[in-house]
Amino acid sequence: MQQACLARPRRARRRFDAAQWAAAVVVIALVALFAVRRFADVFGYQLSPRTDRWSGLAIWWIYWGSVVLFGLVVIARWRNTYFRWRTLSVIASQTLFGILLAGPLAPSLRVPDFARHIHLTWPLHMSVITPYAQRHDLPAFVYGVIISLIAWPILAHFIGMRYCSWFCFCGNLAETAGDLYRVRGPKGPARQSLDNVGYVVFGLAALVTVLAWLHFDRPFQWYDFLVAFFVADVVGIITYPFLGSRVWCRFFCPLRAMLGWHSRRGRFAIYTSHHRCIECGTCNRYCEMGIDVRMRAREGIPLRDTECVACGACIAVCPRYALSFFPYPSAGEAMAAANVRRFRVPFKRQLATPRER
Amino acid sequence: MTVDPYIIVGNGVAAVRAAEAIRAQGDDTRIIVFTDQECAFYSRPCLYYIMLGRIEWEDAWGRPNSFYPLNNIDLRCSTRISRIDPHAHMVEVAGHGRLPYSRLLLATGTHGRTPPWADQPLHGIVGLNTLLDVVSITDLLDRARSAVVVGGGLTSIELVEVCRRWGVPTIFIMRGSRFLESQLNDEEAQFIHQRLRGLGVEVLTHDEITSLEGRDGRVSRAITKSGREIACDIAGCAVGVVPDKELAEGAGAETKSGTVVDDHMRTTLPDIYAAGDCAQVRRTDGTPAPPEMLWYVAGDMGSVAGANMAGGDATYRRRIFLNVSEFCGLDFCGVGAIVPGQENVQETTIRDSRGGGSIRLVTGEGVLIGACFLGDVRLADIARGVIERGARLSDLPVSHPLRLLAERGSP
Repeated sequence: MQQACLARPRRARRRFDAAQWAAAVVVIALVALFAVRRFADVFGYQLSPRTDRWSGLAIWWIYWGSVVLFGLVVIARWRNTYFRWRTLSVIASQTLFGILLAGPLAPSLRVPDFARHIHLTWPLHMSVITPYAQRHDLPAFVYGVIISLIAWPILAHFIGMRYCSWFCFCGNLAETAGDLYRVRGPKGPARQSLDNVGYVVFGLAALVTVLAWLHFDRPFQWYDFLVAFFVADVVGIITYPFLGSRVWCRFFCPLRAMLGWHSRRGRFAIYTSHHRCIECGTCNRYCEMGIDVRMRAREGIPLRDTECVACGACIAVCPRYALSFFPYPSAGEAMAAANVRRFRVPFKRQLATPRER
Repeated sequence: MTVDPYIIVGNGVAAVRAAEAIRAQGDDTRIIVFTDQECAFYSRPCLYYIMLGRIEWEDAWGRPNSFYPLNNIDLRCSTRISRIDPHAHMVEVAGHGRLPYSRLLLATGTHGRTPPWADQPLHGIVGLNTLLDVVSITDLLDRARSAVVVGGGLTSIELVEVCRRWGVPTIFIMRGSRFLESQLNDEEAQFIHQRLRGLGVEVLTHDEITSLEGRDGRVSRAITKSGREIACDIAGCAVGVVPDKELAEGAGAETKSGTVVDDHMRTTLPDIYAAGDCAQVRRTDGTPAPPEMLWYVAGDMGSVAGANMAGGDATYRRRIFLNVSEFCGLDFCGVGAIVPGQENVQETTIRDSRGGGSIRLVTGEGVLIGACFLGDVRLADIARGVIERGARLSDLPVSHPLRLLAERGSP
């Protein structure tokens, strides 16, 4: 009996449950379809019009279907208000922009060209402001600049990187199919320093955008293949079952780097209660961005200077309710002053873990 | 010249925080940690949540594997310190001779109080104080047919909750008239009793076990003071904890119920510090405050002690009391001074209309000094903030949830 405590047991290799197997199958199917279309592009052979049409539609519908299906799984498993609203937003944005406005139904719905760009944000979706996709479309270009360089950064200042967990196309799959694997994300300071790779990718994105304006399309095509296809689609999605749901977002996504830069300096925070933390580290286990939440919680300092995407998992799993999106008035004298006009009562406490007994 | 190492006795949160604070001061002197436990640092409050299935077993380890080697901390498990010689700056390690120290920290913590009936070598007598207890309870629960839990505090209801959730019929015996006498008033305690009874737990008050019988080395029967005989396989014992002060006492330091320290965590002996559950901090009027036995308090004390040991100047300041638990499907949070029966205070109780708990606000001359939450604990940390500031409820903004709660009965 004593031996049990003397040595730490090696973490048991966990088997997949049914939902995780299903997600793995979907993920592999998606990546295979991406590969078929992309290789055709690069190596210059023509897919037959039928295959082209069929595979293009299949990608949209499989992606949307898995977001909806696994979104419902997430809602059922987490049983948490914030998760419910967030996942509903994920499903809604995927339906609206991935099916109705910009997806397979757009042609038959006669959606104006402009509406297809509503959700696109540079530098994740390069086509918004690169002439590569829209050479003479000035209104779309102006809109892209506003949404990418002004609107979302300002929002990130106030609400953090909720773009990534409520709205983003890549995030939508990560928060639904990928949610089942969220505990597998790499953790620790060494892994966190890799986040800076995102800034390199951001630099590359900016460079090829400028080059594309100057009519050098070749580097742009390489960027498109290497980053948008290989890193985002293949590496990013296929590593869900092994490295958690946000490998692409954490290490490579240029938009994450840009929004993160603003969010770190903004007002977004997760407030921690030093009195409650028992240092179990369940928050760290469930954090898909690999943030050391426990270190902040045990010191009682708010989680500010991080690239938190506000998925709400750490708040939902903390057995002692030590974390909150809402500032405790004690957290700073600012809240103590009477100039706070409206106090917000936190969400009803709901302890929800996917493996609730 | 080699510097004598820092020696820390105990390996709880106070010890680990102290070691971290020493390193944070930039002091690289070797630290030796002696503990009579078999393993590295783990989080004691986690044990209950492990038993509830809220957190994973491995999450009880409070620090990563690399913590001790990276910080140049020498951890000696299963080793006891038998004596301290404060004049020679030496400790006597049981069975291993003497060791010099430059500064010594006593973070020995507490041990569970053992009533006479529990002081026998029977398989089935359990507490919930160490990681090994989790192992033995898990082992016992699988084959237990019934359980008896004795005690009146939070640990005892944790044991009840664990047995109940495992589907073991449980009898909860307490010596006093109600559960958690130091924090709940009569109404709240009766509410808990009712709730426990509704969940199939038998609650016996004004009673205790007088003798415990075993068969084949296992617990088989408990006999209570009221003369009742209860067949049981598990006898949970959580009748309070006693600070481990023998070392400090033997060395000649001042002790009351625990080791008395000043606000720099110094004992009355030179270069000997104490922190954690075994320490009592002297108040400004010179009398030692009763030990609080809370996780964050021990952690705070540890950091202060560590900083001062390494030559810093840190002062321990008591925080607002806040205690969290959950049982019989209710969240519980006690904040500030909620001891029932205080003088010159006014108590307002707001009851949930659907019987889901209550909130008790304790005010002294209009100033909020305590709040006891059962069921809906959302406002607990907000209440802590208000208590910390010493604000009058009537001075709070009109829309402040606590003011609304006190005035109209809902936030």
